Amino acid sequence: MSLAIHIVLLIALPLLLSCVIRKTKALMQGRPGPPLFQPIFDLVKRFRKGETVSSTASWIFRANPLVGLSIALVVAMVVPWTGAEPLARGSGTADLILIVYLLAMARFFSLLAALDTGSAFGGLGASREAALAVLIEPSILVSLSAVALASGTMDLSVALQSPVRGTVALLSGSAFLLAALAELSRMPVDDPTTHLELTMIHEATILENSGRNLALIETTVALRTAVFFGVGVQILLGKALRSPDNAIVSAASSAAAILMLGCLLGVLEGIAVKLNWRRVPSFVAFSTALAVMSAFVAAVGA
Amino acid sequence: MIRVDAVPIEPADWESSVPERARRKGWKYGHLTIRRAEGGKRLLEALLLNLDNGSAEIASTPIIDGGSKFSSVTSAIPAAHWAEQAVGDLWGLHASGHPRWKSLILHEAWPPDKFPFAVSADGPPSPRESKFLTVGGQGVHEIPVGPIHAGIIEPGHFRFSCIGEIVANLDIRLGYVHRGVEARLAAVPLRHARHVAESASSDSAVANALAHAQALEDLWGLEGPKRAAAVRTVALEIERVANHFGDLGALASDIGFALGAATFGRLRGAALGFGQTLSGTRFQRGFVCPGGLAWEVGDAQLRLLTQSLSELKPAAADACEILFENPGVQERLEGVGILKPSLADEFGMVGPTARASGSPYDARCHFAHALFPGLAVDVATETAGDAFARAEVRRKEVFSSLRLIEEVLAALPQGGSLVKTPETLPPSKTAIGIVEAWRGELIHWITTDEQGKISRYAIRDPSFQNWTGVAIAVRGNLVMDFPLINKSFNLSYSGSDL
Repeated sequence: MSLAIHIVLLIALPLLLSCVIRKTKALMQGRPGPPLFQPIFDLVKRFRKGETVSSTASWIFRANPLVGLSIALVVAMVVPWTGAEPLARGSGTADLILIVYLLAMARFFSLLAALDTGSAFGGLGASREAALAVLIEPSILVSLSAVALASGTMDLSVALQSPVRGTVALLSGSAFLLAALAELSRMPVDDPTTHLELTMIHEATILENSGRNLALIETTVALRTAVFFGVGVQILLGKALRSPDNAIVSAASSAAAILMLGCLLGVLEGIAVKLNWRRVPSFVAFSTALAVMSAFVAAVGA
Repeated sequence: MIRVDAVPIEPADWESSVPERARRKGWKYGHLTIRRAEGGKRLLEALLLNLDNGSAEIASTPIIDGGSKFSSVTSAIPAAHWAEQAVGDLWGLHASGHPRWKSLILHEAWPPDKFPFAVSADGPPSPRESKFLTVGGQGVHEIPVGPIHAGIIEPGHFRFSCIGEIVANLDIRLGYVHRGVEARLAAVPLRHARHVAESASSDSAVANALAHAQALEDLWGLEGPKRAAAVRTVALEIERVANHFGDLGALASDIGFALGAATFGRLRGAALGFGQTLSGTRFQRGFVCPGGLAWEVGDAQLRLLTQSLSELKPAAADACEILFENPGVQERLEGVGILKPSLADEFGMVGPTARASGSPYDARCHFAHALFPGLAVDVATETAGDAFARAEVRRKEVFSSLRLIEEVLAALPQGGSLVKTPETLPPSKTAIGIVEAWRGELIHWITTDEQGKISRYAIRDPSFQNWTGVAIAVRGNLVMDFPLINKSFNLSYSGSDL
């Protein structure tokens, strides 16, 4: 029952979340914006379109979207980001290190694919994304480790659902969400809506993708966004959202919290100014500092 | 009326005499081009402007028959370097002594033997060279951008040589929208010319139409009605306000500041609406014409305009606060894309770009067009020369233009708005129209032959001077900041490619 809820949310939430972000952003700018479900319409449209592939691209370029989506699906299945019970709970599949480096592998493939087409922007984007990944990794790893430390297990499927002290939850949850903004290429680190190739980070790596290929990547991005938000919400508010005897209530409250976070991101993207590239390291450093503090509290206070 | 004096110069003296004349106190370089005089002879001409009394002089020297060279003045007047390259492209001539000779607008994509203004009697043309400046050294890589861009903007190719994320050099290649506007202007019937002149750069339709009209009226020695001059002023300032709003919004969108982009986008729409109220079309095309205005403006329209102006002012003040008082915006714009005053001056920057780098030059204070220079203009200057300074100049100009519009509307003369203009032009005369367009000093330069036909129509768009400023300002900055720096100049591609 609980696994069924997890799968339903896994399909519905990512799409809904991108709709909510886009609509809130439009409202923040004082314009009505496109219809709420426009991102879904766009996705359907892209799945039905043909694609253009650069003649210099190899199999890596075609394989990348599938690799990315598969990894995102595996992670989404085993990590309890929806508040409901994930697949193979407690079996150790959702090992912290495994999850973080599965995601790193997806990034490795996306960088290779970006270089694969031989376009100048692909190389530019790949080099920036690699630099960013190096910065973010410690923060994600340490903030999750703090939760693991506090709950006594490296298995995220258990750790995220066990009661953790408020201070640790607050510190590691905020550290994780701040790092997630950079990891997901959202404002203020990257502007996902820009058309200016020279300013892009993530977008520059997928400039050559079109049609189905692009639709797969966008699905992956939506899924990853939902999973990261979900994990952040579970760390921050897990205790309050869980209701031990009713799986539907815990899942519904988690979903509501994730969508609320989406609204917050929409507000942020509406009013924020993109950071100067030179200032991005200090933004990530802030998140890393929070993560280290949370790990310290978890280690000392346990 | 702008007085134009002719100064014939011996070919041997050209190189020394022109810079000397341009450096006199109160004078500045305007433009440099070639025209065909009586008997098919080619005359090299330099337009020099006198800011003290609002007059001009044209230094000219013949190109020797069969010759394919002229002496360059770029080393002494760097502001002339693009003009000399353009002459090379269009006439098949070589500027000897030019420090960086290459084709400007007719590059590799064009047939190598195409020299639009050259005729066979001129002798063999000097071949064109298209090449990018290459930067050597370890780790230097090139990023080619364009000519097709992701947004709906004009085509242009930018070649960056970068060291990591830092721009070492930028080479700009325009020339993808060459329409032969100057040649067309000399060929079309006079009554159609104003529509062609407006299209030189259509986002400056009023400014181009006004410069065209002023030059023709000067040729005829004719003065338009007072009411027309006043309405022309309003039209020109509306164009300035609308485009400055657009630029500020575009700056906001380039730094990912969605709120600012939306707010200024809305204001630009409102200002374009003023254009529609005044002239019937948002971009005010076909409105300003030689002899006055193409149609009358009714009192009801003027009342509506005055009323909507008073509503716009507080909205504009609020929007500027959102943008300029935001610390994030300040951080992104300050110190980015610095154009030093000395370089801005040397390379002949005009308009807001020049004023953001400390120059007090505003053509509205010196040269006769519409009600100027009789109308007092607050010249907006900044000294930092960075993207923030260029934004700040635009902000100041928006409010001073709004004030000017109100002032002119409050005391609008009554009477007709059009005088009848002659069918033909006087023979063998030269006139220039100078307008402070929203991008800066715009020059239309008309010369007629013995039959009273236009023999040469030259347009010097402000962008033609300012593109070099972009290339200079972007050096040493992050590649990521280029779109922002480029937008802080916001130059016309088509206007530089006539």
